[in-house]
Amino acid sequence: MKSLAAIAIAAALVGAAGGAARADAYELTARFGPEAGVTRLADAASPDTAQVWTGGLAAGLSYGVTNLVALDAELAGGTCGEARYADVTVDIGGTTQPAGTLTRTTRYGRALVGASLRLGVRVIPTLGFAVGVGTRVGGAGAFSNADVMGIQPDDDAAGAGLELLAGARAGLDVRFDAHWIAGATVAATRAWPSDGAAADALTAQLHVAYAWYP
Amino acid sequence: MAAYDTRLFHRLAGVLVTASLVLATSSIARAETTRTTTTTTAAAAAAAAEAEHVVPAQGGAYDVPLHAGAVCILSFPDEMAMKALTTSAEYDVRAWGDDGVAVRALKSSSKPATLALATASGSVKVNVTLRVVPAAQPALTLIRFKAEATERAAAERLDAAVAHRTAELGAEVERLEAAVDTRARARAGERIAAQLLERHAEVELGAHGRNDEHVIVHVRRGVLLGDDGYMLFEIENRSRAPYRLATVEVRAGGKRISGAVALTASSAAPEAGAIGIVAAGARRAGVVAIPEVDDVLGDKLRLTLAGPDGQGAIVISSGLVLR
Repeated sequence: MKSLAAIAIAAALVGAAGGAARADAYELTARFGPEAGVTRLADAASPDTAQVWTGGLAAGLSYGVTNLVALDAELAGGTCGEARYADVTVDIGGTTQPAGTLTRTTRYGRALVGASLRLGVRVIPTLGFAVGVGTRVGGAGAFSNADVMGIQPDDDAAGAGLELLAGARAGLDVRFDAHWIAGATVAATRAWPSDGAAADALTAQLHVAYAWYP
Repeated sequence: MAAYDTRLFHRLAGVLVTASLVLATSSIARAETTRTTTTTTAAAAAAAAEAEHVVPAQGGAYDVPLHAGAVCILSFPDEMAMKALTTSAEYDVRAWGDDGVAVRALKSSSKPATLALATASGSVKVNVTLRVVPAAQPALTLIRFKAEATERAAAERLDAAVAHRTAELGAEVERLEAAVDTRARARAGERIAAQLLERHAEVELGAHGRNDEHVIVHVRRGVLLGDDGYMLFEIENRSRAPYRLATVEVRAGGKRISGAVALTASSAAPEAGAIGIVAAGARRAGVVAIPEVDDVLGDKLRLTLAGPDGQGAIVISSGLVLR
């Protein structure tokens, strides 16, 4: 995850900006597409983090301030794969259990705003940054050890939590005509949950976009 | 003011017509004087059996085909030295005034004979060969000999006169053109002043359009000036090829309402039929006039820019309302 942070910092240092380049000056662009990635999740029941796959959908708007810079907004949501935390000790029915494994599935959502640097006309390399808020909705934990199988602990940390997000991203768009654009973006995002340690995510997006002058 | 302009126009037209006539006359005169010593005009040879020779200072030899019994006059530019004239049994040779000689073949079987002739001043010296030809062949009845030096001097005098007159006419044309420019500028200034007093307003527009080749048109503002309107636009060519602008039109409700179009100058000269060229990566500003704009104030306008044959059309159909 240190590498993800390094990517984000490097992108920020070169002036890279948020969402992918999807508009020329005065153009508004709407985009939609799937995303997938990998992230590290922390859990109150464990001092360790778990690395999980993520998948979801993203939609966004970009407005070209100039031919070089666009402002971006993005909404995304999806689900994380099952996170597994080993060597966890929990209470079940008021009784402390021998160490076991806690698993949990989490859904996520995020809202980002940012800016992007566009470096082309038809083929458009992009660099950008974005900040925003996210939420993670943890499902019920399932604890298993030699004695129990898939039992929810007494003080389970299921439920929603807010987090602040900041990230950098790079991508490549291809413009087919006056309106239609397709592209891909890779984003490195750091999340600061209100109740836990910071977590990093690396996400790849594919998108189709439609641009017009509003 | 209109009467003054009409007089000015007539005067300018008159000067131009006069200049054309002088130049045409000059050309004809030059053509006459530059004929070579052996040239015979086609008309003379074919119809009147005449010939004209410009004789070099050193003299010249000329063939004179004659029909038996027909008189041929040899004409010279000044008085002849008549002592050389002799009549033989085959040719009758006589003086024809002070500056001419009449020759006649007495028999159809006359042998060719030569005759040396010269003017008293010595400006023309010729040796003519009299030769009888059958009636079916062309023969000469009049030959004019001219001194080359005299012809050259006349041509030079004519050239000088033409050059002088041409210069005078050129100066007159320039003066009249300047007068027309001054009047046109003054009239334009008067019209603009009147329009400014009537109405002048700037209208924020902010409309944009592009084509598939990444040529973008920005229309940021319009201008209302008197009873006319103007739409100012900028063409931003983000493609890799020059954009050739051939048409700019504004329509309201399907009716074309646009007038004159202007584009800022560029180094690339547009080809015929094109308004201008926007080089790859360049921007150029332009304006399209909308005469009698009051008729379309508040209407939704549609601006179309296109290249030759409608190629690369850019249509802006929203955000264009003058009010």
